[in-house]
Amino acid sequence: MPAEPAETPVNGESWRRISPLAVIDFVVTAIRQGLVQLLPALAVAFASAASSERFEVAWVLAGLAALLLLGLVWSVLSWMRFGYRLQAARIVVRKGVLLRQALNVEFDRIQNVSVNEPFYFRPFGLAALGIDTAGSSGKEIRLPGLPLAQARALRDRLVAEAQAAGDAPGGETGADEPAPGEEHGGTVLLRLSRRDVVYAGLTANFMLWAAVAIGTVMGSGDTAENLVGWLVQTLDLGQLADSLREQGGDLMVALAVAAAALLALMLLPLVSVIGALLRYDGYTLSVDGDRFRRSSGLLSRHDESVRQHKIQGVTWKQNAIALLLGRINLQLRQASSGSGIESGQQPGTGLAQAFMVPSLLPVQAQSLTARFLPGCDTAAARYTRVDPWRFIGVSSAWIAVPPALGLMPLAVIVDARFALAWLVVAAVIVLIAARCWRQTGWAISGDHGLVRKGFIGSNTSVFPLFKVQRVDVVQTPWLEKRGLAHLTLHLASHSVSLHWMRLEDAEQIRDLALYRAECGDEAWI
Amino acid sequence: MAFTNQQVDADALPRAAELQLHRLPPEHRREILAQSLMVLAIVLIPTFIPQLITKIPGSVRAVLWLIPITVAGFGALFTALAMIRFRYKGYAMREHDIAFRTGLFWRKTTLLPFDRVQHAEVTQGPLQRRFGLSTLKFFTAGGSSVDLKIEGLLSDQAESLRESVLARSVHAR
Repeated sequence: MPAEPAETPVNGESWRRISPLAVIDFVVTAIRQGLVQLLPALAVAFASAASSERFEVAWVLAGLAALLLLGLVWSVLSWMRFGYRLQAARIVVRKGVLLRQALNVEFDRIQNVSVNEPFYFRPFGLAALGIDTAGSSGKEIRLPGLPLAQARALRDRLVAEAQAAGDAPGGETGADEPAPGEEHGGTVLLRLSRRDVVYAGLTANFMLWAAVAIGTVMGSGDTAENLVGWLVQTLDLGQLADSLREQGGDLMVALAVAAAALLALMLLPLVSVIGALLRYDGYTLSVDGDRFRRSSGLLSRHDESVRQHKIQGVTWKQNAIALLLGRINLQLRQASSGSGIESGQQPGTGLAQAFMVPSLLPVQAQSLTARFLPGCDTAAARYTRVDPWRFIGVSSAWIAVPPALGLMPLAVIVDARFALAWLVVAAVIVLIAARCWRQTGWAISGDHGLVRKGFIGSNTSVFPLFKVQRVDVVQTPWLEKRGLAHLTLHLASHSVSLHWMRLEDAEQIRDLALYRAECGDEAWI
Repeated sequence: MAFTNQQVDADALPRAAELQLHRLPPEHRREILAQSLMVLAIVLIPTFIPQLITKIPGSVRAVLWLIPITVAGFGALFTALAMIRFRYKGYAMREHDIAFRTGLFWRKTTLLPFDRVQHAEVTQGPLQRRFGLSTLKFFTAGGSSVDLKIEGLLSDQAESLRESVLARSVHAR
């Protein structure tokens, strides 16, 4: 977007100020950005200071205080400079201390407007308005320190303006204008209870990642040893064990160790649940005209919205834990903002965070999917599986053959039992591949395609066929002989691929998707 | 949004598999050959260096002849594969989309509706310039990578293809 020294007032309107409390927001942003950039430097400085003999805590503290003071002064200057004003077809934001800039955002470039209530603003009834623009720059404009009601009114006005500007050439109906100033102008589709949010935490993929992370930390011997050593020392565990042994013998010690291990295991879900509470507490999903909006958050409330026609697809995520609890997490897929294409011609939302609708019962997931993708009946989908022998055979061969190359010579030279070990491993791999094959399938339900994959749980991509942007069909001479093919459907948000399909199925899906994409002239992004 | 959901007769759909693909111009084959030979020369020349060092005994040097021979063998093989791959490359245009097939073993056919094209580019490398060839690239919304890339079109062909695709795309600007 063009930056110019727009000091000349247009329409005679002067710059609107934001609350002085916005300084807090500037400080927080400065600290957040500063920490990321300065952390390595700080760590080095601290380490060298600590190792040198003239190490003085006072100096370090003084340095930190100076940095903080500098940040504060900078933030005050930023606030003094900050201003915004609305003009006929754009919003102008004036900011910057040394590099002074005025950002012009045309209303028709606005992709999304959100009202966030960070925890430090909530006691004062303030909010931060985020404006997301189209274009590869993907920069978000942030107006911190607006009174909540004003922020909401501004959001609704900007959304209405953007809608009006965007719809004019496309000839769409922009009749549903939101009622200004209310928290939720539309109908509430979903409210999550605390229990749902706890389930969302338990079923988050984070759990699996955390397990992996802890596994790696424990796997690297030094770290684990140091950690255990440190724990034993600080908590005086040795003495604790001794006193336990005196009172109740070895059994008591074993029990205590088991309890500690259990506690550590419980800690993981706890962290995940706390994360979910922070993010999803008070989750409300509402619809207003063709705009879906979610707002949630415990300390900081976040608000996010998407227009129905921007939704590229819905992904149902159900991992093993979610399967056990009978819940499904939905993710709305939107066009990913791409870089690398010049002049910012490319529309796309610069939202980093995924639009999640967590912790749904299957019935809710079905009805909400039908809301997000009108006419999509997920219950009616009948899945077709892919070719079992090639799927299981090839995917297990990829994993099982390389170890065989290592183990077979060992079996010949050292001990025949290595061959046995490989057989066991190979059998497990084949079983896993067979399970993955059972979970893999595709379906066409009306105007929508569904592709399911998974191992214990499953991931199902549901997408309108007409949103497909590109179709790839891959064949090797070997596949051709057996009448099979790999199919990849590319959407603006993600791509969906299926391997080892029957060629005629792949071709039929391709023809259908292309027909749908080429028939309609609806906006798809 | 006016929503309709008529049944589509699957057999009546236009079939992309029945497309007659155009081969790429023979200049592209010559370009592939020239490129392969250039790469081969760059790799091959250093392998002769041991033959110039007289301090290495003659018997060892005789064995070292195996290196350039192997390299040349592989070079010939890859060049031959590239020449055969050329025969499998092809493109076609329908009323609403463009198709491109490439690959010798991994035969990939891409179909891209005109309406989904956001942006198109024609580029020309130094070697391509000598043969009067260009590369045509199409981009869609979303990802940052190229969605369809046709290497080795005649320059005016690439330009006219680009123009006709963009002319039929409602959304490209």
